[in-house]
Amino acid sequence: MSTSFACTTCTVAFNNAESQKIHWKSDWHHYNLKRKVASLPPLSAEVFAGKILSIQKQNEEVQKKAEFYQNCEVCNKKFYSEGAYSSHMASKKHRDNLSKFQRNSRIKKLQSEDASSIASSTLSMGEPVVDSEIEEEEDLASQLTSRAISLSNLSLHGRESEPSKTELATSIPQSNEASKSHLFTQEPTPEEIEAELARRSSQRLSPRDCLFCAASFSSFDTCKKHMKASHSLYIPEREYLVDEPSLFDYLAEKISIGFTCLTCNREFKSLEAVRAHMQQKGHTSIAYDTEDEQLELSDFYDFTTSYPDYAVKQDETVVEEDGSSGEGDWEDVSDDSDNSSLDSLEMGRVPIADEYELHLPSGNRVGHRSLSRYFRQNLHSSSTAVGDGASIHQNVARRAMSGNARAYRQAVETSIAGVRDGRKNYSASHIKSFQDQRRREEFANKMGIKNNTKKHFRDALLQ
Amino acid sequence: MELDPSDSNSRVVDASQFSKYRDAGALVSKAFHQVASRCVPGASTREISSYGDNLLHEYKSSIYKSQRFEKGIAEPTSICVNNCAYNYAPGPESVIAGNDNSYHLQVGDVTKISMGLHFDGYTALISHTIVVTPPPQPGMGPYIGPGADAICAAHYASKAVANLLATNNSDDPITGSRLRKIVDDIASQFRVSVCPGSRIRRISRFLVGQPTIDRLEEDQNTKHAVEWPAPEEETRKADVTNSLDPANVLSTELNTWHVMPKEAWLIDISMSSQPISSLKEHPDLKPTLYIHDVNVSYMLKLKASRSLLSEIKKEKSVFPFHFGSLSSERNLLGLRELTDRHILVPMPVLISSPSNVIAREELTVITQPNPSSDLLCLTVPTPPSYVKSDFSLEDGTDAALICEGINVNIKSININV
Repeated sequence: MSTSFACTTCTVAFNNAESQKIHWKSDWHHYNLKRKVASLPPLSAEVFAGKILSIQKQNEEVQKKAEFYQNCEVCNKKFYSEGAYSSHMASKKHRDNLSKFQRNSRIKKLQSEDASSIASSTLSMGEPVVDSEIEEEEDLASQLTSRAISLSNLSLHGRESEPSKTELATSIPQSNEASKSHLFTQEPTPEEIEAELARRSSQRLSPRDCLFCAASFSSFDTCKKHMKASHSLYIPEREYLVDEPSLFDYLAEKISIGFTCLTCNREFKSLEAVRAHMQQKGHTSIAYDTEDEQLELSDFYDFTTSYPDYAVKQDETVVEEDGSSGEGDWEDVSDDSDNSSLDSLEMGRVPIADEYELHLPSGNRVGHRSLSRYFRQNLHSSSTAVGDGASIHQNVARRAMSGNARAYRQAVETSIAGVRDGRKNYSASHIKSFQDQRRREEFANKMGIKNNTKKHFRDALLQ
Repeated sequence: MELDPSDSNSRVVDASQFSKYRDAGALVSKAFHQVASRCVPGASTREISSYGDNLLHEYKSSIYKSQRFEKGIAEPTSICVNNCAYNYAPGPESVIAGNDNSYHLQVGDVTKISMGLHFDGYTALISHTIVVTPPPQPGMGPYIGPGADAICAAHYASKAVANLLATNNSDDPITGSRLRKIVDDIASQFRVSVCPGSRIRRISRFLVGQPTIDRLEEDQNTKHAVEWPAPEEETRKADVTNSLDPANVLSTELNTWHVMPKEAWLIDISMSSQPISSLKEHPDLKPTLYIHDVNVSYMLKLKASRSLLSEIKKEKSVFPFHFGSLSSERNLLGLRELTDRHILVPMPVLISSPSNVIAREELTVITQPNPSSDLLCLTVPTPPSYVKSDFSLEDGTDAALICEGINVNIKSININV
């Protein structure tokens, strides 16, 4: 055997150079070369062929596996293995989704029928139902919105068909559960809000339930005691509270329907959440610091007993019964008017200068600051005049002027005595031209420029 | 209408008030006679008025010493001559560089002396017209001319009104229109006219028609008064009724009040020789009489005005006072501010045209103090000066009958208390 044509790597000999060259290009030779580099013994042709075959078979299997693809439309899931797919198809979840999907697809079919019929009959532009998109969308929220749109369309066009109506009616309760999770992410429709409200008000707290924990009591009073004792609930301005049951009713509503914390007014997603928050943070008090918060609860309070003229009014009614000392009262009232800008006089019929004064329901009078120099003067009461003669004359004057004239005189005496016309005109223009405000602004402006601290706001339109 | 019962009671004079009225009337009459005797040619009006004030001060101090009520001059002595109607009471300000620049009386001056006194607000006012004459000489004739007419008219009118008030009874009540009519009648019979500012009014404690309170009383509707010039609506209504039925005027004219027994009335009637519609303030003479309006209060700025006001409050009541009677000269600086703020109301010297002559009679009377007596004249009626008018009351007229006063019993108080 000649060795002129041989491959040392693969330890094979050839008959001619031609076959040798073909060998050098073969995969077997390349493989053996790699093995040689790795100092491994060369493989024989048979072994190599077997190896190739086995690899090919493996590849085929992998290929076969890779080619598997199943999509579960119902559950919006994709499967690349048969086992996973078969196990999914057998699962309970898939079966649940399947039943839902079947119902929804029926609705969709009906709607699309409706929409197409409307579109064909009215040829209206911009028909909002885009069938293809909606069919692909599995999202329940989008279905709901589309249903709302189609519902409005139906009512708009007045072509409601009986089956669609009943279908909608049955579908709404079922959709509620699904919509719950979307309530805060999607814009809720009125129906949804109503339904949510109805659901929440159904689990609203009764007056006998504790606001802060799950405890329930036999009576409202014991409930109150419990809240005071264990949650240290404090009711602000208790002496003026006139409608306690309504107040607690309102608080219960706020917690169980609004899911809102009583102290920080933060909203939560459930009753449990808000209760947990209140207990953890110790927010078991009623917010009553700011004016807004006080106004919120003002319906349940009555502060008239605290007004300064409340006692006076009662006195007057008492005095008028015996009738003789009614005159004396007048003087007393005007005598103690040391805080002259807030006089507790008989109000409501002082004809003077309405534009300079505010008449508060409490009976106090608030004067405009442009006349403060007059309101602030501490007038000696005219009753300082000594002697019978003076008092007789004052009595005559007081009795002579009834009603408006007397009130006018009182007003003149106590407030703007000596205010001349010029000053009044000044006041009028003062009030009319917002002089106070303007003066403040001008001052702030001047100081801002001087100290280089003036705020400069760029006009958004010019950018 | 709101009426304070205690106040309406005070309109009627009871015994204790009556004695105060009587004392005031007696003392002011006494002072008046002494002042009147001083009115001789060449006398200074400043001296006479200050003399009168001193007398009043002296008299009021001499009585009711232990009582603590207010008492004092209800009207400072004023000497108004000829065409001057009211309030000429020159004080120390008229003395310039030692010269007395006030008016000096001359022969033939028709001089009106008025003064008043009050005890506890019960006031007697008096006013009388005298003609300044030289000491009586044999053969001297009476004062004649327009002035005499006015003097006679004023005299008879005041007398007639007093007589009319004396005849007051419930069957034939005295009403405002009756009083007005008789005065107007007498004025027309003497060819003179009633001077503005004349009045017949009911007075009560501290309320004698001071200008500060007068208007307010009117509002109160408790003022019973006849005033000249007549309020417009009254004359209009009188015209209407006259044109309709002249005979029925008295009964149809608006009469909301009539004279009651035991009331104090002030009769103050001025007659001017020429018809005048209004009096005007003297252009040069500054007012010397002021009245404190207790119904005005104001924060005063000047220290002088504050101290002046406190002095006025302490010393003076609600009656007019002469600013010369205030103690401190310095504080008079504040007078201007007080008048500007209407705390003090000046009583200006009122005059009419120079050719005019005004006569004035003022009486304070109490109607029927006892059921037996008819009328008490608090101020002693002074016999008129020796005057002769060309006119006289026509016989048979109401005015003449009333002035004769045949059945009228007027009692006068004894001047020497």
